[in-house]
Amino acid sequence: MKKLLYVLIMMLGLFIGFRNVEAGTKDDLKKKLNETYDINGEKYTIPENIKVTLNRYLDEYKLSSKDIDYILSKIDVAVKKLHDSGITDLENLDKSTKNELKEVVEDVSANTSVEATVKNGNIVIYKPDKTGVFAEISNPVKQTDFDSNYNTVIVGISVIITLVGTALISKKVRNCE
Amino acid sequence: MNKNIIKEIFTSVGISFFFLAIFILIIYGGFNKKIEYYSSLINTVAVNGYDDINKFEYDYETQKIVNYPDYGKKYGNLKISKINLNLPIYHGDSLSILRKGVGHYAGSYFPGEGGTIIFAAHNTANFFRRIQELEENDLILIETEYGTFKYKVNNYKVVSEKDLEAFSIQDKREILIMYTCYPINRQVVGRRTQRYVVYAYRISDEDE
Repeated sequence: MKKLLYVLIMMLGLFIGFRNVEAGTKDDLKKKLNETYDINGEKYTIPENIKVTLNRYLDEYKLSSKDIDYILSKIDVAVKKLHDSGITDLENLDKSTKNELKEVVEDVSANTSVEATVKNGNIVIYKPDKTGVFAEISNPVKQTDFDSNYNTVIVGISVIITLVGTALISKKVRNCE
Repeated sequence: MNKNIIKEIFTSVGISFFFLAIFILIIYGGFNKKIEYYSSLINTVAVNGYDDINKFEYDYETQKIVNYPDYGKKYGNLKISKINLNLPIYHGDSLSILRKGVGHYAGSYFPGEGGTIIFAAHNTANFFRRIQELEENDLILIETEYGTFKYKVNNYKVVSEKDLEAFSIQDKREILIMYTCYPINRQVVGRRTQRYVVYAYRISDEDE
């Protein structure tokens, strides 16, 4: 009888334990993306371009509860790192803070089905089946003048050659005199 | 080899390059626009006819897109009859995409989703060279597999490339932002640091 009682108490304990540890859901993650964070007295929200891209990813692909819980925990880690760095202007992060955030992205990529890298300051998110890029989170303003690079290179090279040529011609003229 | 001969060869080559450089500067300065126009034509012709439109699904009841187009793929066409513009729209705005057509910034919403859509294109002849001619109430069409969306120009301005407020993304109203490098019709050495931006609000068929 006593043995049965202990088993029942243990099962009850386990049941309560499991009920209290609720696995993360997609909605939990979306809610987290919409939160306002207090970082050293300044209020910040996750930038809209990141929210749009991540919400799109969550709508298109299914993440396991384990992955969601891990990502939720890493968002807290990233916020803590920003807080600990003492910064108040997220537009001007120092190199070491940027590297720490990059490590968080790489950590998530290594430990969940969400694969992402930081390349040239942009976050590249890949499809879970690894068939290609899902999206690239970057600065919204791009360079859209077709000829600027060509102009600079061509004019630059021409100016250098002109200067060298001028020097050679004047030397030749001096030698002839 | 005799040092003097080497010196002579070097001098002759140097002088030849000098005249070549002068020639390039004259030709480039005089014919650069033509060169740019024809190369942009080649880019458009080479790619426009061969990309298949990337299919994706739209749920009309919830007004949500299901299965977005792949990054880097064409998914629609941008048409502005006033400036005789008809360009393919690609998901993404990398340099290689901008060589082919209009780049849709991946961090913004898609047409029909009710938020800000950001489009970029080069300021050259076959792309956004003429967007400065757009005025208030001019009509813009975005055609996709799942429907055609109409917009009316509301505002336009020149902003600094660092002015991210001019490109802010929100989900309260469907706004189309189109931009290109500025100045548009002038030769510039080096990068253009300003953008010409056109804002257009989505309209219904009745509003047209």
